Amino acid sequence: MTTWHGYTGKILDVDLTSGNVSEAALDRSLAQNYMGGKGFGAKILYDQLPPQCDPLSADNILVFATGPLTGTFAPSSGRFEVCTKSPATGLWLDSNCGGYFGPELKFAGYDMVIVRGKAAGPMLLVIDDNQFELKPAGDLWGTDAITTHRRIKDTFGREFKVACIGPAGEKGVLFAGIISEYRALGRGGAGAVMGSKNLKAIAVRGSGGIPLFDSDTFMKTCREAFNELANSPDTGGGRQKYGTNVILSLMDEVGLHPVRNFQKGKFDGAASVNEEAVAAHYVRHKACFGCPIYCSKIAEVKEGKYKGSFTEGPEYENVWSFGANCENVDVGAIIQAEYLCDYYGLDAISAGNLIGFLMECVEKGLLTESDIGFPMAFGNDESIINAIHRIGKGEGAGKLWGQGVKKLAEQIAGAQDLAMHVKGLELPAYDPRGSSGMALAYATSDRGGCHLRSWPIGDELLATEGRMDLVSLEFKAELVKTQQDLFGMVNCSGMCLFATFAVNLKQITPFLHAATGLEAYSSSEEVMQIGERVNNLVRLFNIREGLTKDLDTLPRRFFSEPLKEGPGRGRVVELDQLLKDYYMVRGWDAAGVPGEEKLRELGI
Amino acid sequence: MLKLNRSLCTECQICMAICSWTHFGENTTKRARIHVAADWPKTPVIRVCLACKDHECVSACPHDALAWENWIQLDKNRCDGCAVCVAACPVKGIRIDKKTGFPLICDTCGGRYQCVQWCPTKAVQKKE
Repeated sequence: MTTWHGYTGKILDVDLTSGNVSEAALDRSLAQNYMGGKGFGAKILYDQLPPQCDPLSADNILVFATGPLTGTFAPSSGRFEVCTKSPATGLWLDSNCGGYFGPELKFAGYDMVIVRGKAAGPMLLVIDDNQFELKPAGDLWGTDAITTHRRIKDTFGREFKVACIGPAGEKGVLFAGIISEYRALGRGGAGAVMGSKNLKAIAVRGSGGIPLFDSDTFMKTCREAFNELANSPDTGGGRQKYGTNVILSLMDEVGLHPVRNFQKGKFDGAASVNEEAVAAHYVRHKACFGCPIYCSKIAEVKEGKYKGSFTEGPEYENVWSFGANCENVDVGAIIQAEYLCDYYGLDAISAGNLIGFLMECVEKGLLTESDIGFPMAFGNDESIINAIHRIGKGEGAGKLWGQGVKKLAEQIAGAQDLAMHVKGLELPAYDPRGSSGMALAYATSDRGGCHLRSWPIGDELLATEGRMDLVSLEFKAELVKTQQDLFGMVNCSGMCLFATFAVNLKQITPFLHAATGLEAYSSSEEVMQIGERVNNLVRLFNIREGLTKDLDTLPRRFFSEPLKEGPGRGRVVELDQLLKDYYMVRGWDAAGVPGEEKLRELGI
Repeated sequence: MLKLNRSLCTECQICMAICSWTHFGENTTKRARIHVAADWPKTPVIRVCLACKDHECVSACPHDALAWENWIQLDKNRCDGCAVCVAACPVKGIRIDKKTGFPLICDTCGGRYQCVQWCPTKAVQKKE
């Protein structure tokens, strides 16, 4: 029997159709070549998912995967991934979450849970160390995600950690997320996949630990990494004070803060919803497992119309999606909106993006208020709250809205150019006209419109000697490719992306090697190659599912309507050269297909 | 001994991880002598021996397995894991180690106070 370090060496395979749950050994070559998290999901889905399957059918597979650092003492290593085929894009989806569920799964003795098939009725998977059982969950079906957490903990014990769906996932809203310990695996509709399988929740408790290969080196690297995090002005300063909203004023200043569904890049009302205004609502700091950054917050509304509302957050992306994007200046409404998204189990980026789209449709006369069912206008906070309730409950027009902007726009004459998505995933909080790096990052992101595959804006703003700036085209392909491979690897490891703003490969490589003892992690080059391998395999997966070069693009607005603010003023996106450079740098052909040589080099 | 400021606690559990590590060399939070009891969204409660003057666990122990000398000392030869001390502790600062059955009681890491050293927010501090 193989001895494992860093990994537990065991996985759970759940077949909901037969009700059979079985334990299996982790494959050593899977660990060596694909590390964990996103990599595990990529290999499993590529090898095992029937091509072209319906994402909401029993054929789809839902992988809950930790990484070798998840649950270890390496800072900010409480992350886990859910990988599946997205019902929003019909392509690859991985979604990453912190909290405490991933570490608990490792303490229970499992690196990964693979969920297949479809149960006849609502089920709950309970894992208590090496005991596991599927239990009927009819009494939880229809319950919101927050109450579902409480009821599971009340029934089975406070130490159980939960990942569940809310009513939106049950009803198949295509941007329904999975809520775990009051945080979200939001993007791309993993909640709808879980709902389609009739799996309401997974609850896990573990009493074990994670053996480390070389604990002296591991702890020495911990001291170094905790020190780097504390000394960084970001992870040891601004992010602790303001959470993810730390960049809000800066993004607005440089015209990258989308307003009115991306009609503008600078918000007149920014002073009312900037990081200071949001921070005034924070009642305490909150951290995920093992994280000294504590970027999460508990926020509460103390006065006004939304008095008494609270949420964990609100995060930068949602302050944008329910703030500037809808031209709303009421922080109370933003807090209530984010709470409701967690309650129903909705992705708050997609929800806010979609509401901005509806507002613009009404503004442009493509929809009327009778189509909507209530007043829907930029600047109207009640439009936001009402829309979330309709989507979450699947009531009235909310049922249509639950398809997301891409499919919804196809049903409204003249609305397609107003649908701000890439490949079917709604765009987040950065205007790509003001950052050519971000334009390329959005266009080439493997899960569609996303800021977490690569976030080149920081480097663009801080590049020395003007080697690059926000709007220049040079070196952007290299920057985006390298970041995608780094972030891809980090999403395999179990560490949080935010930690990598201060902790780099000088620590991550020794962490991985000292935790696991695997040869594959003995140099940073090899570790980075895992990120590249995973991203190339995901590209092949996407091509098999129907991705073509034509979809590596952006909404028309960014090519035809110049940005009005910031350093990118007067500009539209010039994507052709960026993409040509990017495919070249990636070793892909002119159609965006990974070349033979690249695949051989990566051992795919 | 420790003093706590739970309003600063972020629930990161670093204290629990370093405690388990220091005493057992095990990477887990489950064998810690300090425990963060979370009840989202409320402020968490930190449970740990606060070295109260009465040493109620010492007098409650039916086997004379506990004694006070700089901290609560456990005589493993006498302890049978009955957990009477757990119930007697006025601050719920004692837990039973699932692996050994013995009570887990803060010993300040022999004066090295690892949770105090690693806590990112000073929610756990040394009482002078």
